[in-house]
Amino acid sequence: MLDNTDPMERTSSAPPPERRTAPAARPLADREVPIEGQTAASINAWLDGDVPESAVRRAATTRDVDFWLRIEKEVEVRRAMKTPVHVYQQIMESLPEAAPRTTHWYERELTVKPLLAFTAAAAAVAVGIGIGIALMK
Amino acid sequence: MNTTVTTPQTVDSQEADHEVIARVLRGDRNSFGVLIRRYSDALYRHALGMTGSPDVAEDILQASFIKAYQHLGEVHGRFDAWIFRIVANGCKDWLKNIRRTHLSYDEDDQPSSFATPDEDLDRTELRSDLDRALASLAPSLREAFVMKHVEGRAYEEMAVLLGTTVGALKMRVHRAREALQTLLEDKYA
Repeated sequence: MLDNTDPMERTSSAPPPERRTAPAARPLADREVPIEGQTAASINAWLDGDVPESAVRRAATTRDVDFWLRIEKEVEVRRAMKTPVHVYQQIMESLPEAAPRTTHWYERELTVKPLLAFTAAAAAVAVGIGIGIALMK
Repeated sequence: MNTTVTTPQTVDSQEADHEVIARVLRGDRNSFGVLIRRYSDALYRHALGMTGSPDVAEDILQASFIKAYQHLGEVHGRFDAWIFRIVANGCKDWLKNIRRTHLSYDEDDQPSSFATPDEDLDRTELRSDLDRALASLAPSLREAFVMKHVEGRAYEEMAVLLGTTVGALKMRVHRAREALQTLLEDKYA
């Protein structure tokens, strides 16, 4: 009797090999760090000023909090920036000598939406027809 | 962390804006300087945040105030919102027309809040990286982030200035934060 060397053929007595299955995804709460690239809702709420820092300083978000505190420190410097002093003088020197012209109401730009324009045109046509009919009588 | 700061716009200053504008329209050219001083810092920060270049920010600011002066008779409503739209459009036009290489602004004139040379070095790197990350954002996201974080505006104020809703702006700011965190967290988190 020859040995069965075919690897694809199982003997009936041998138990079927266990299939490797992917481990089930762990729930988000078990993760040690937040999902990469995601700014958590709690972090956004804190950055928007809706909740205090202490409310978001949990272990899972400490890394995010520290990151945004660092960014905020940089941003604070930018928030304190002033217009360079020479710019004011440059602007004043560049202003036209003539005083700006006061625009009368009939010179102002008029913005009309298509629906309003169509309605106005239809109304004008209707009035025109009405006048025409009245004159014909 | 609440980045909201008080905006200069109050009912009283709104009235004062109209009075100043009336003086300018009557021929008092120097009174326009009051409006420049009142609003230039916030507008400069916006232009700098959007363009990343102090030279470009100065040019946009100058061009915007000159345009505002020429059309001052057309202001109907809040001057600060009107001039903001001129500057914001100037920034967007610049972003559309210019394909930029990396620009990083020099803040030698600005006081440093970092105590030690090491902190200054770290900050220089962070500043450059943040500039690059901001430059990679879509203009609408960058605008929302700059207005919220750099200018310290409230969402309600941003909604008035940009003519959109608070909800839409929150979404833009949140998306900008997410993008920035993705770009920078490996190095700085």
